[in-house]
Amino acid sequence: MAVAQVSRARITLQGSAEMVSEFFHIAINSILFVRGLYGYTKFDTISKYGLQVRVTNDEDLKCYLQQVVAQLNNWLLAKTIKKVVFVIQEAVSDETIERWEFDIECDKDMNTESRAKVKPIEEIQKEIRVFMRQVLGSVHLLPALENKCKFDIQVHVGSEAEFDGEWKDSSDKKISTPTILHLNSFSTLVHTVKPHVAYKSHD
Amino acid sequence: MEIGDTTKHKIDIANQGKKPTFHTPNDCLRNTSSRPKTPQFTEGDRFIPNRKTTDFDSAHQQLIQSAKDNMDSSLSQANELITKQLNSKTPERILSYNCKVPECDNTLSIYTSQKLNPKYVNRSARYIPKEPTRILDAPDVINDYYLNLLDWNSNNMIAVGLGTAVYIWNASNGIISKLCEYHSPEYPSSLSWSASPKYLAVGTSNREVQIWDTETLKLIRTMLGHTFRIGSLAWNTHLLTSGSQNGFIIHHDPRVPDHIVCYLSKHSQEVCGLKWSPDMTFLASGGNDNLLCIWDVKKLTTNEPLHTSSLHIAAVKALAWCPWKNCLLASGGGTADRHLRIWNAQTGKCFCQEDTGSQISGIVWSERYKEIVTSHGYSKNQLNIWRYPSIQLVGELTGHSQRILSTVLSPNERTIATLGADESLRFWDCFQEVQPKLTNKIFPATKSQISHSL
Repeated sequence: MAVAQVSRARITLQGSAEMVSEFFHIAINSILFVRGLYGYTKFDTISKYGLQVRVTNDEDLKCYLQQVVAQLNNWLLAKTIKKVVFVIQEAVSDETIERWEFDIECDKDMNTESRAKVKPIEEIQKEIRVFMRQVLGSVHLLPALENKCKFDIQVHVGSEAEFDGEWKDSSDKKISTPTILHLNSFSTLVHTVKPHVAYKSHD
Repeated sequence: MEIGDTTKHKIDIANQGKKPTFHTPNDCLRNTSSRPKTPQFTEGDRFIPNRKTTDFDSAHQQLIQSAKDNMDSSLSQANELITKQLNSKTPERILSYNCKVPECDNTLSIYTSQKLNPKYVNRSARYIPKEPTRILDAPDVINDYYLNLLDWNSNNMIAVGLGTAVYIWNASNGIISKLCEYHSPEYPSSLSWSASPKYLAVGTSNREVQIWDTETLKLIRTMLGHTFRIGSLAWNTHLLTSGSQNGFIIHHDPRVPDHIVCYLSKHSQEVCGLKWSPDMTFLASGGNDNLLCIWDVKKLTTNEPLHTSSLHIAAVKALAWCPWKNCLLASGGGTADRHLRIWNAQTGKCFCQEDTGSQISGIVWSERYKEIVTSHGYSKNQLNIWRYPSIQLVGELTGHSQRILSTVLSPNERTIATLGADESLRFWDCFQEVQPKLTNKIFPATKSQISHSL
């Protein structure tokens, strides 16, 4: 039965890396959309994880995100990735006002040859769906971005990680006294992603 | 690297005359974590180092530290990185992608951007009176976007919920009757006339669905089942559908003792829009969870809607079915969304959308002119008239000083009644049949007649 086969999907390292990097692609697009960093005319609606999600149609932004996600995929495969941080800063003052952090735990014993793990895809998608809904809902909680902003994607990797010249060392952009909101985490058994958002509250 | 060279040089000085160490400083840089820690610095002559008690790592670290103090700012950053590398137990680097990203345009936030000059087309296509023909006071109206407190039946009676009471106003002769009054804090939260103009369904904040006989002004049935206030009601001949604050929808059959036909639990937040299509085959429901669901009457008891859409990014209160094409549905989103969308209920596809510039609280179709009227909140609190299917703006009616809460069409499809948060009920003759000159003769005074009090 087709349904049974799908639900008993076996998860390899490659498959997991692909799934997690795809998640980042959708998650970053969604954050850009819900935080209004780009106008809503720059987004198209697609169906993903049983939800309608927004993905950018701006060519430059698309290209940027594709390259970032491709590199994330490499690091996920190499298991050297520790954290992805989506930072929103004020464009003029460079002050960090919001950080979407995704802590990543990799199963170090897993390699390309090892036996696949078994977890129903539906269950993973359900976990992701909860997160996506939380991102949509966070609009009501997070302070409005009043001034012109910019964003940056920072990746924390182990010192042994390999990367090309497009990636440069950067300093950690912290918020002095952040309010932290934990969001729903998900796991493919190979990679576990624990997201939270830290933001500067006005009071 | 310059720093590395300096430190190596300094350590060499420190170890002058001794045999070469088997730990070069560069090794230290790499292998700090794997090497066992040597004991802390003990007292003694530093020029006769005891190899066993010397901690090369910390010595190196301290040398770098002291060097750092003297270094100019351009070097200190690199130095910091090395220090961090040495100190952290699990060495980690923070990388960021260097490529250019298009500039953010978040100052045009979804909350603040408004189309200032919507496209006006053919303003003079027909005459639309710009003023309301009648204004009634609506004292104590509850300014809550999620309630549905206005309905007009085929006998020309308007039911309106004001504060804790429900009033019925006969639009033919202007007679007002008070249907019921609840004890505060209980209040009516939704109203809907049944197909037979005698009965009015009232949803209350006390979780009850009541059916009133409006001729005898008597309560004839109270139906329980919800656990939160009932913000929306819709009749399908004998079937009454109610939506509550926790997202539950119940189909009631008020004719039988065991009135609950089924529960639907697709929405996760307050159901604020609920409409049956004119041929009673589809039910549209909109919630504060930004979901729009279309349900099929043939699968009444299944909890799975025919179509679900999360295209709106705010609460979906305004819903209206097209009177001449059964499967067309118009929906409007709240403050963050502001879009008017038109759907095909058969396929579940949205084939038309337009940014209206402000919160949409109600939608009405006009079969006579093939137009759609949307009622709005901040900032102009206006009624917009759109041509269908081109969705071009043909008219804008302003008058309410606060947002419009509910909008209904009269049974003769000529007049629209709007209930505003400014405690007024206004009537707009926007779909009249006759020519404007003739209209003025028949109704010579419009403004002076106004201001009846409920």
